[in-house]
Amino acid sequence: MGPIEYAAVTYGMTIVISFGVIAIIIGINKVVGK
Amino acid sequence: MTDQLVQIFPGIATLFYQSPVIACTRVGLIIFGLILAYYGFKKVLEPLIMIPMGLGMIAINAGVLFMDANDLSKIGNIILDPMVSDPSDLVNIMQINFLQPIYTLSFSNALIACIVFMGIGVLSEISFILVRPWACMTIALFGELGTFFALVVGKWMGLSSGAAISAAIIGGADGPMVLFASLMLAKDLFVPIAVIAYLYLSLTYVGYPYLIKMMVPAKYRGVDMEFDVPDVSKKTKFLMTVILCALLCLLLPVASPLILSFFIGVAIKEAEIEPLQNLLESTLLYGATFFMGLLLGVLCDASTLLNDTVFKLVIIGVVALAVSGVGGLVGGWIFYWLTKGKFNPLVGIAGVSCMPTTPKIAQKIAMENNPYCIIMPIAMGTSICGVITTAIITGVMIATNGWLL
Repeated sequence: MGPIEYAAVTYGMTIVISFGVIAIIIGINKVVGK
Repeated sequence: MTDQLVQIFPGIATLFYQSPVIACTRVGLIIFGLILAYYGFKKVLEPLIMIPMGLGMIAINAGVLFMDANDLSKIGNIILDPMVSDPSDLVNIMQINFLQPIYTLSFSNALIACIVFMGIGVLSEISFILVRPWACMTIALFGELGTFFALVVGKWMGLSSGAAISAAIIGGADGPMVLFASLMLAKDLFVPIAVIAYLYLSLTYVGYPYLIKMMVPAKYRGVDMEFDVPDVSKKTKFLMTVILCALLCLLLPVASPLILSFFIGVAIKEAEIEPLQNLLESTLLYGATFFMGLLLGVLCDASTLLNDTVFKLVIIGVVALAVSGVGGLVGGWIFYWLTKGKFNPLVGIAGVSCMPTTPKIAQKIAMENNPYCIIMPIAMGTSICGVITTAIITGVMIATNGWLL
């Protein structure tokens, strides 16, 4: 895999994991925060 | 007579026994160390890092001596030798070089980076992420663009995959991550990458305000933002911390030392364990920062730094931080337009992380233009998201290097 493809794939993985983290934070706040 | 002078003043004499390039670099680094220490003293650069680093740089390049009176080609110092790897040599040298035990047992295994991360964890307020969670994380992702761009530039310049990734992570603007990645992926370039990273991170305090002023016209810098900091209970924040720590360690085991260090700091703060909080927040964080600065300075030995790839690393570091800064501010502008002018684009710079420098810069510039403009909570939330995204990128890249790149 070339560096541009690698950068695109790892950026994509980072976006998915990061938004997953935010979704979990919001979810925990909604469930436990009440 | 000459021999006696050589023995009496070895620091000066070694300049004439070394190659002219090394001798000139030593003199240049002594002057550079002086400049760093002075600008640290003047608070232009971060004094916590720059004063010990500048003095360390001066001492390592000035305090050079002949290691064998009968063989004047053996030149070294009695402060630190980062290149020793043979275990028996290491044990011997640890009894001579005064900073060798700290370097070997805490710096070269990233312990010191993890301790700094524990301190950052204690200073982080996780509820700030909840002010505008999606905006904070999206801007943080924009603020990572420099990492990916610099990775491509690094490969294009002919660096190995490990070296290109380690240098590119400078774009995430988290010193401990850069140390960790270079230890895992490019141990031979660990010293120059670490030195360049911390030098640039300290310079962000000077450089980013110019970038902000170029990209955000004065009338937009004081845009007021309306928000409520959510009232999140300690129990909720503690549970978030524990669950996120478990999840991220499961997903990214290679970055688990850093993830654990960050979240244990947050957990101790939320659990209100005051003695541990004080220990991490003041004693350990300041102690680790001091020794990190000092060690980075003494690692700037001319013969260690004179490496063919240093020039490439210098360029990659600048590219990484500049593109990340531009990316973060573009993210800030996108939210400004999406909210029809109700989002301050300055928050974008906090997406680069470099906590707490970038949120402080954003707040300071906002207040210069509008004394009632408060953007600090959102900027801190964005910066914390930046720390999380950098940890994720570090973990993803360490895990995928070798089989994807």
